Amino acid sequence: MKMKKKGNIIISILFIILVSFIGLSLLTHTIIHTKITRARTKKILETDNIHQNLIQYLHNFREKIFQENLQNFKNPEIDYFNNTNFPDFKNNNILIKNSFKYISTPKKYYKKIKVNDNLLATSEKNSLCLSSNAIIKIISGKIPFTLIPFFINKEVDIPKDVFMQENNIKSKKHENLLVNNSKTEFNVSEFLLNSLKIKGNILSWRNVREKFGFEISDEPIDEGIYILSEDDVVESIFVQGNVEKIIFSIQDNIQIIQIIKEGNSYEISYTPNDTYFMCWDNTIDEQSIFKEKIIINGNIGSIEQKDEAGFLEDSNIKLFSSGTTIIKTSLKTKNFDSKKTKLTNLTLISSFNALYNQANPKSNIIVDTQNKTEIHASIIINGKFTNKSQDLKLSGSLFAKDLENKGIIEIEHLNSKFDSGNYYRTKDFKYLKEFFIDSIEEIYYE
Amino acid sequence: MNNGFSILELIIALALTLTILSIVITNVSETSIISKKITSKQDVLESVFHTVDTIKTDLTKCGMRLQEASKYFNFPLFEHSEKSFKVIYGISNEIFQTDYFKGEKRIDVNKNECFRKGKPVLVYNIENDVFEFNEIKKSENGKIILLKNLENDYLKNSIIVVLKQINYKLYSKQNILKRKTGKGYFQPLIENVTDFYIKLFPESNSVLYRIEVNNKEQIRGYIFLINTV
Repeated sequence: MKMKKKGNIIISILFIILVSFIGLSLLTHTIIHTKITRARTKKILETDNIHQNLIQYLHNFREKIFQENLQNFKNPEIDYFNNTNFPDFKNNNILIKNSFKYISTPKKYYKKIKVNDNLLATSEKNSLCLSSNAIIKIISGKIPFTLIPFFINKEVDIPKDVFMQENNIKSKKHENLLVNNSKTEFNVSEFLLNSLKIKGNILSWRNVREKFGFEISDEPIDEGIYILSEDDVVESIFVQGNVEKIIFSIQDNIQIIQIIKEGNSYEISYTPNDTYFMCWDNTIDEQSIFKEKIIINGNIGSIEQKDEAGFLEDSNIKLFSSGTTIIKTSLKTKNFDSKKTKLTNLTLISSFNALYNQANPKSNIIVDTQNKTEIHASIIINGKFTNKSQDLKLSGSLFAKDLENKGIIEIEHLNSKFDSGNYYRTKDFKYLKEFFIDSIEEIYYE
Repeated sequence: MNNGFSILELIIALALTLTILSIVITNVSETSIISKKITSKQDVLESVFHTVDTIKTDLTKCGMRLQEASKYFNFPLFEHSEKSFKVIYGISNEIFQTDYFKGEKRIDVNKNECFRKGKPVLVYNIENDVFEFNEIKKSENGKIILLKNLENDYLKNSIIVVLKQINYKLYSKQNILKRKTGKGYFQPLIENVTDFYIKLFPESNSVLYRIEVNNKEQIRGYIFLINTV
């Protein structure tokens, strides 16, 4: 009987131990798993909460800085971007702190300022922390018009965004477009003096006549096309009077410009930055370098391009007109790639000046095309820009004193190859060029 | 007779023992099977969680510290094919406090743990329209020596970024999704992957991914590439 009892107890104990062991291991496993899952979910939710708060803050920050008039601050990088204007912010137990630093890069007439805002978002409940670096780019000083994507220099009584919406102006890359009555500098005389290689500060017919070897007087020179060439350098082409057409075309690496005036065609062909220049005037050396300045002291009836592209990638054409210019086709650069191309090859300038003897001078540019139009150019107008195209894509920049848009204008900013800042620029102006978030990352505290 | 068991007693004892043993063995084996099933499911879930977390972390960081440079110099931050993808981001950056010229190799950086031997770097200056990829050959006390001589001049305020590149690839024959950091080898991230899909939506700067494990569990995610906006 004793043997029987011993056997039962051992088996029972073994059975209980085995069952308990299996049960406990299953339980432990389940508890650990549940804990891991819960901890993971909690961390995700808490990090997400900080993330959302930080994003919301950055969004409001962006809205605030773009609505602020930076002209009210002498040095916005110090006077505006500081902890007085952007103090610590607390919301939903998340504390966000700003820390500002800036780098200033001086240029000839202006400076480029890069403000770094290091934001730290911490939760009061735990040790989770997110760090973000936001970058604000400002240009301050006498800013070349071509550095601003779209600038209508006039007083409007509606907010900027409403103006852009009402006038169907769009920027795919959300660039800061301006409508603002600011003081500007149009140093047309200086541009023409340099283009015509006239020494001194006064632009007059007397000086021009002297330059082209005419009898000296104050009368304008005869209507016609003149080539200004000195020491194997063709500095500019000067046209006195209106022209019917200017046609741009390319052939291999040769840029061709055809000017039609009073029914006659004048053609030049050249290689940009190289010693090859062909024209109707046999006295000009073929091995000349052309500085690609064309000055029309009058109206341009039509600017057109032949074929798919009218401009070489190496071209840097400066086309100046004193009167009204009408664009009749797209103006495209060969192999243009909006992701790779950084500078425009054509700068169109329209401004009245001392040589333009008109009673009521109007310096306007009109885009008068039927189909979808693409223009790769920097446009500077001391007057009105009119778009009659249904769909105009401008890769470059536009400065004008007034705007009339009968379609949609889409702007994609490219600076000009031509350093226009010497002549066409703002006065002391602060332009908020860009805002972007450079990084958002979790920070771990041990 | 009194000292031993009767045949009947032995048969009953044996029958009882066998019954108990069979119950125990059956229970143990069943419990073991269930336990194995649960454990393997939990393992799969945990590895799925880990994979998703890793992918999310990498995608969230994609483009970090490289937004400006990638936009200006036009190099991709995210690339993908049918069964693989690659992300690139900066783990640290420094601004040059002085000018460095073409041919130089030695650059001063603040004492920064990220600037270590073997790390790839991007050096750029948007103002001067120059950039190049290089690698850190040596790092010592706030100075780094680059593997290749600088190919351009980099004036003060140019930027050097330490890069991290991460690759993901599905090895279809092995059904393993593997991950590789920098120059390292592909390491298994999750096994029994029967399908893997990834797609970039450039308009919304977001990535859709889908992982299927054992032809059963399927995880999908839509991640906004916050560091590329």
